[in-house]
Amino acid sequence: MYETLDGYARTNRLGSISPGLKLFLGLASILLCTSSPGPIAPLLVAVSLSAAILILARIPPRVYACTLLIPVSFAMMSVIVILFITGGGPVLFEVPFLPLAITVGGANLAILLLARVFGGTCALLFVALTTPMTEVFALLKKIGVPTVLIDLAMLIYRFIFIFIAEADQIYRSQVMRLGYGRFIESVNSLGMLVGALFLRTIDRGEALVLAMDARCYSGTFSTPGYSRSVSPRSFIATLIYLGTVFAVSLKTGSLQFI
Amino acid sequence: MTPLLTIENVAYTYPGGQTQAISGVSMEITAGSRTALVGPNGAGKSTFLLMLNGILRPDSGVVRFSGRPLAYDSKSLRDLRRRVGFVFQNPDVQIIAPTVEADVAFGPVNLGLPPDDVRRAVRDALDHVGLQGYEDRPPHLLSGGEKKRVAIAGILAMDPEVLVFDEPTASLDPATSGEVMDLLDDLASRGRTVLLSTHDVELAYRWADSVILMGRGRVLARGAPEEVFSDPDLLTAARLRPPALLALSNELAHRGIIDRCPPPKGIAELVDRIERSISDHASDRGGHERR
Repeated sequence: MYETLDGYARTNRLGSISPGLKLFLGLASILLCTSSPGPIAPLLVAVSLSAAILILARIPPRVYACTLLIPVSFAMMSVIVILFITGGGPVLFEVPFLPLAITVGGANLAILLLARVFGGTCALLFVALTTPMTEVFALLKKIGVPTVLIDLAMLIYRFIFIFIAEADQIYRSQVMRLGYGRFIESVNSLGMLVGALFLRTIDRGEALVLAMDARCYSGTFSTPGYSRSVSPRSFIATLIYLGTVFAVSLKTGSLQFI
Repeated sequence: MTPLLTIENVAYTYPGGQTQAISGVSMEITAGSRTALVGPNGAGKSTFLLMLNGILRPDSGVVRFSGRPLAYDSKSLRDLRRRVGFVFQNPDVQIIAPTVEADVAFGPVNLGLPPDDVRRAVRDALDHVGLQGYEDRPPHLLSGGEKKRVAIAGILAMDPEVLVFDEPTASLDPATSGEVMDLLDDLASRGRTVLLSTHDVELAYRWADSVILMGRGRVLARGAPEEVFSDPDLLTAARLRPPALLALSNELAHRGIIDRCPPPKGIAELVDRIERSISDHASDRGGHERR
């Protein structure tokens, strides 16, 4: 079986909390992070939601760290660029022989951006790791998202796993016949893998149409339902949390590290 | 008894295909029967089954359901597909929705049933296949046997009169395929017409009351399983072997150890008859010696 975010979303300890509340908390945190004028509030979100993911939801730290590393490493790369190209204020550091320098303004902007991305990513992962997609579909239907989009999302969700399984099968059959021995072979095999996947995708698409026809498809999908109501206690706790973050972001807006 | 499905001289060639997948096939399926379509790979079994609910349209010939030729406009096809349910060989092809419950509800929702009826249909279908408590599971976390049951439940929820199974036990372990066959037994005994395709002669011999032997796109023979499977030349032509139990009992009958008719359906029945004929034999001998 594959270790997927979806798997953890199904088995974590926050599964009994209403998906609507988790989604609300995640989205509101992202908004607060991106709108915060100073880096303290986003860092607070990052720390508190990471704690919630690790302690309350019991997601293994290694899994969480690996998942977090992917977007954060991308952010690091862009932040390094920003560090050098933004000007303003006294110069902190100059690269010898090149017209590149880090200024106070640039450093502050880089820290702010990194904090925002970090906080936002933690909030997004909080939703991704604690809320199963099937419950998100039900929620989307409830809040009136067009059914075409939901149906499409449900089909995509269903086929992601079939796609992974097929790719895995082809990859294994290639490895068994020593397909990835040398570099040139690897390139060759990868090309074959992608080509085969493309053809299988078309086949699957045709089979899907047949299957839907055979089951009297007339334009409606049934959306999975769920029955978790928002408990007043957790709702109030969420509001208090978001209020605190908002207050912190207002209070610490002018605070600068350098 | 009037046949429920009548197929008259049907032929089909796949688009771009060189040879006919099936050519000149005629048969009748009576209501309430359990029919097994038996043949080797490439005999045209699946092609033929796909015509029964209008997924494939024959190049020539007629398919009749309840006496009326199939119409291929979308409204008639929908009506036909509600009455003739088709369970695909690979459940991954058939399962569409992200949860078991949503998938089983797919058919009923598209038939336009009210929500309460949909819920009842889904619950009954899941009960029937023994998957209560699986409602919220996503299909990619199910085993092969469980996926097969979900696929069957999805068709049962539409309450069809005829159930068509393409290779129902393909790639299932013996215990699971036994359970699936029990389920098919149960469905057939409740008055539904059940059709399946298979190349497992043992399974067809035990389960079916009527066997249609196919090979190279044609019907080679049809009749009761013990008749069809007792003809070695026919089976060789169809690249199949006779069921072990039937071959054994035919050989025993040939050597005069047991009576020829009727052929046994299970091991216990065969052993009983051997035992009986041995004890008859022994008491004959005993009477002889005493005299």
